[in-house]
Amino acid sequence: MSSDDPQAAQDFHHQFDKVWGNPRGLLALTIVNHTTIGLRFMVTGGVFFLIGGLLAMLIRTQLALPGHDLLTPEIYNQVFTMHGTIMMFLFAVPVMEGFAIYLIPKMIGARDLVFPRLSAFGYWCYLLGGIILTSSLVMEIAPASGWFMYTPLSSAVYSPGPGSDFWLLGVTFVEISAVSAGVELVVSIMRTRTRDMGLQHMPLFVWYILAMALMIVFGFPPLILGSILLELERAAGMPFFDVAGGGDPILWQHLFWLFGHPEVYILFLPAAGIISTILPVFCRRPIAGYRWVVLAIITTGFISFGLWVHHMFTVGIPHLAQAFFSAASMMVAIPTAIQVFAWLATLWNGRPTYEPPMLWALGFLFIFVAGGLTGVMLALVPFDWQVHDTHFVVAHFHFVLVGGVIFPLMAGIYYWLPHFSGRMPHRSLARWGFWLTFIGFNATFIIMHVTGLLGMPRRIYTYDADLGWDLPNLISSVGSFIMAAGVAACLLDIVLHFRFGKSAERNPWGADTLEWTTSLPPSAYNFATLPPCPTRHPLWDNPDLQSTIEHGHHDLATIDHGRRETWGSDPITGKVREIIHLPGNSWLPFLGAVATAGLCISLLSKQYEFAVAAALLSLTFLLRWSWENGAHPKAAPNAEVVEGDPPLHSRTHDGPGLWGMNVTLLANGSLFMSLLFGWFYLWTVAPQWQFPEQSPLSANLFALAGIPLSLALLWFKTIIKHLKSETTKRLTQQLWGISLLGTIHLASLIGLYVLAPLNAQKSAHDAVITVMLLYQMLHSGLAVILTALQALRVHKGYVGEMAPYEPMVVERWWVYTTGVFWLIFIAAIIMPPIWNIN
Amino acid sequence: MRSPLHPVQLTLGLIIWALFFIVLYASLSIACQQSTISESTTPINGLSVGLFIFTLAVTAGLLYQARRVWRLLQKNRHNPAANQPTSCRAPDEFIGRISVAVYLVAALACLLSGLPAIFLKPCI
Repeated sequence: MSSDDPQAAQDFHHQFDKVWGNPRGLLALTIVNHTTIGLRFMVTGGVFFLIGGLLAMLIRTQLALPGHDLLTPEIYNQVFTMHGTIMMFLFAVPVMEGFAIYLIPKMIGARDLVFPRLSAFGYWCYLLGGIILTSSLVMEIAPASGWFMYTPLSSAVYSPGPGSDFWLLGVTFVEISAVSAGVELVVSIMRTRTRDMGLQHMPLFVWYILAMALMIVFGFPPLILGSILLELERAAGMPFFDVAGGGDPILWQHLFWLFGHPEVYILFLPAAGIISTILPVFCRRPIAGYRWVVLAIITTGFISFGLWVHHMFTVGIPHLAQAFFSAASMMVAIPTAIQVFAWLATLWNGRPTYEPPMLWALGFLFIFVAGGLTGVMLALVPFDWQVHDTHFVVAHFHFVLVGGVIFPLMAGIYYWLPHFSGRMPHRSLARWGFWLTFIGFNATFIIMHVTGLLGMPRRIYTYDADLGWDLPNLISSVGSFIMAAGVAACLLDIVLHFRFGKSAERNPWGADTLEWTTSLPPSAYNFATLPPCPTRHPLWDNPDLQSTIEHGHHDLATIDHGRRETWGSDPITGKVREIIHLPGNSWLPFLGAVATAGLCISLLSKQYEFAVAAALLSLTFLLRWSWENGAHPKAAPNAEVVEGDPPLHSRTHDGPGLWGMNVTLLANGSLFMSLLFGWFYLWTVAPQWQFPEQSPLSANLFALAGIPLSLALLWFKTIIKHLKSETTKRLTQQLWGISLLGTIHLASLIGLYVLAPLNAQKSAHDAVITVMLLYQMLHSGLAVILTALQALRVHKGYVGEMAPYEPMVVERWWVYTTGVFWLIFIAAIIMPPIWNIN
Repeated sequence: MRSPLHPVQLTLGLIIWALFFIVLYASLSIACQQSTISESTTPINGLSVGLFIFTLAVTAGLLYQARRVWRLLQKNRHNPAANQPTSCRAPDEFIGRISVAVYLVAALACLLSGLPAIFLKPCI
C-alpha cells in the first residue's frame, strides 16, 4: 500500500494487527513480541528493585545506631547477601536488557528482534529464577555468604543449609536469560538493521548495546561454570575449591571476578548509551566526537576484561602480577574519560533544556565521575590494601553503580516514558523525585567514604559506640531514607502519569532516532513499512518520516502472506540481503522455561529422578521449538515474495540462525575456556594438586573414540559443499549415517567414562576430568540428536536444496564439538605426562 | 579478513592486547612456580627481561599495524582509481579510522601493562 487516504491507511494497519497483534487473557503467556517482552523485563526488574531497596533500608536501619538489634546476625547476613544479589542479578542486568529488547528493533528500523521466542524464553527464565531465588528470603533460608559467594564460606562445610544452593542454581537459571538476550541482541544488531543503516550510521545506543551484549556472551559463562562447579562440590562432594582434595578456593574468586568486573561495565555501557542518546536531544545538536565515543565503547569492552584481579589484591598474588592489573585498571579510566569529555563538549556547544531526563543525566555526570575517581584510587595496590573490605569500598561501588546505572536508567525512563505510555510525566513531581534522590544519595554515600577510612569493615551487623562510627552511620541512614522518599516520588509520578499524564505529542522531545517514528505507544509491528536510514539523525534530516512510514511509502508493505517479516541486511553496509521471517506467538518458550524451573527446583530439593525428567521435558520443548522453523507449515511453507524483493532467509545459505549459532558457540567457548583455565590453574597453583601415577583415561582409546567424531564432521562438511552447489543426493540417508557415526563415538565415550577409574569425590584432578567428559558427552549427544532431527526434516520436506540453511547451522555444532574433543585430549591426556611442572 | 579495512580490524588490536595480557599473566604465574625463578632476589632477571622484550615486540607489531591501516586509508582517499562513490567508501573510512585508533590504544595498553616487568621483582 502507498496511499495518503486515511481509511486505506487504517485498513492497512488492521491487516498488520491481524498478523502481529498480541492476544489477551491466558494467551498473553504466548506473546513473543519484543515490545511486550521488553516492558515485562523492565516492570519485573522494577519490582525486584523495590525488594532490593527494602532490604537496603533494613541494612541502614540496623546500622543507624551502635548496638542496634533490629536484625539478628544470621538474618543480617541473608539481607545484605540478597540485597546485592537482587540488585545485580535480578534488577540491574535484566532492566538494562529490557531497555535494549524494547528499543533496539525500533532504533534500527526492524519490526522485532531476530529470535522472538528466545526473548520470551529468557523472560520466563528470569521471572521464575527470580521467584525461586527470592522465595528463599521469605523462608529465612536465603544465601548468606555475600553476593560473591566466596568459598570456603559458601561451601557445604560452612554453609550447610540450602542458602548457597538457592544462589548457585537460581542465579544460573537467571543467567540463561542474560546470555539468551546477549545472543539475540548481537545478531539483531548485526543482521536486521534497516536498509542502508551502515555501521557508521548506527545510533550510539546501539553501539553500546552491541558491546554490552558481546560482553555478556563472553563474561557470564565463567560464573555459570563456577556456579556449576561449586554446586557439584556442595551436592556431589567434588573438591574443586577444597585444598585437601587438590582444589583451591581462589579459583572461585578468579571465576567469579572474571565475570564480576566486566559485569560492572555490562551495566555501565547501556547506561552510558542512554546518556549519549539523551544529551544531544536536549542540547539540540549531534553528539561531539561520535567516532571517539565508538572507540571508547570498543576499548572499554575489551580492557574491562583485564581488571578482575584488582578485586583480589589482598589474596597473595605476586606484586608484579598485581601491577599488570593495576595498570589495566587505571587504563580503563581513559575510554570512560573520553565519553565524559564528549558529553561535556556536547553540553558546552549545545543549548541545553533542563527537562526531567536531563536532570538525571546531569546527576549521573556528577556522581559517576566522583565514583570513577575513587575507582582509580582503589586501582592503586597500596591504597587498596588499606581500605580493602571497608565501607570505603561500599561507598565507591554505590557511587559507580547508583551513579552509573540508576541515574541514567531514571533519565531513560523519563525520556522514553511517552513512548511506553503515550503520556508525559508530571514535571514538578519528577523534579521532587530527582532532588530527593540526589540529595539522599550523596548524604548516604559521601560520608560513607569517611566511615570506611575510619576503619569500619563491610558485612558487620553492628558495632560498638566508642569507635567514632556512630555519627557517620546515622547520617548515612538518614540520607538513605531521603533517597527512598525520592524513589517513592518518582514511582508515584510514573504510576500516576498512566492515568493523569498529558497526552504526548509525536516525538515530544524533538529526538533524532527512529524509535520516535512509531505511534505512541507503539504497535506490535513498530513500523508499517521499513524506511531506509543512510544517516545518523533520520528524524532531524526528514521530519516527515513518521507520516511516510505510516502511509506505506517504504519497504515490506505487503502483509497478505501472513508472515511476520523484517529486513535481513549486510552487517557492515546495511544493504538488504534477504527477508527474515519471524515466528509468531507460541506456548513453547513458556513451557520450556517452566520445565527448566522444575529442573532447578528438583535439584534444590535433591530429587534427582525428577531433575532428569524435568531436563528431558525441557529438552523436548526446546526441540519442538526448533522443529517449527524454515519451511514448516507454522513457519514459512510458501516462499513467494514480492517481485524485486530478496528471498526469505530460510531459502538462502546465510541467515540469523547461523549467526545465532556462532554467537552461542562463542558463549559456550568462553565456558569451556574457563574450564580449561580451571584445569591449568589447579594444576599449577593448587597446593595439594596431584596427578595420578597413571592417567585414568587411556590415550589410545580416547583417540579412537575421536575417529568416528572426526569422520562425521568431514562427512557433514561434504554435505554442506553439495548443498551449496545444489548437487546433493540422498540427503536423508547421509544425515542418518552421520548420526550413526556420532552415536558410535558417543557410545565409546560413555564406555570410557564408565570404565575409567575416576574418583571425582577424592581428587580435584579426577573431578575436573569428569566434568570435561560430561561436557563432551552432552555436546556429542546433542550433535547426534540435532542431526537426526535434520534427517527427519529432510524427509518431511522442510529442509533440502530449496531450503538449505539449517544443516549449515548444525554443522557449526559439529565443528565445535570436534574441536572441544581434541582440545580435551591435548590438555588432559597429552600434556600432563610431558609437561608436569608440579 | 586480511584486508586492513575489514571490520575485524575494529577489534583485532584489542584482541591482540587481550592475548598478550593472558600470556603475560600466565607466563609469570607458571614461571613463578619454578623454584629457580621464584627464589631469585634480583629485580631484573631472565623472566623480567623476557616479559619486557615480549611487551616491546607486541607493542611494535601493533604500531606497525596502525601505520599499515593508516597508509591504506590515505591511499584510498587520494586514489581516484578506487572508483567508488563516496557513499560506498564511507564504511571503509569509518572502519579504517577507528581501527587505527584501536591499534594505537592497544599498543599503549600493551606497553603500560608490561612496563612494570622491569621495575618489580617478579615472584614476590
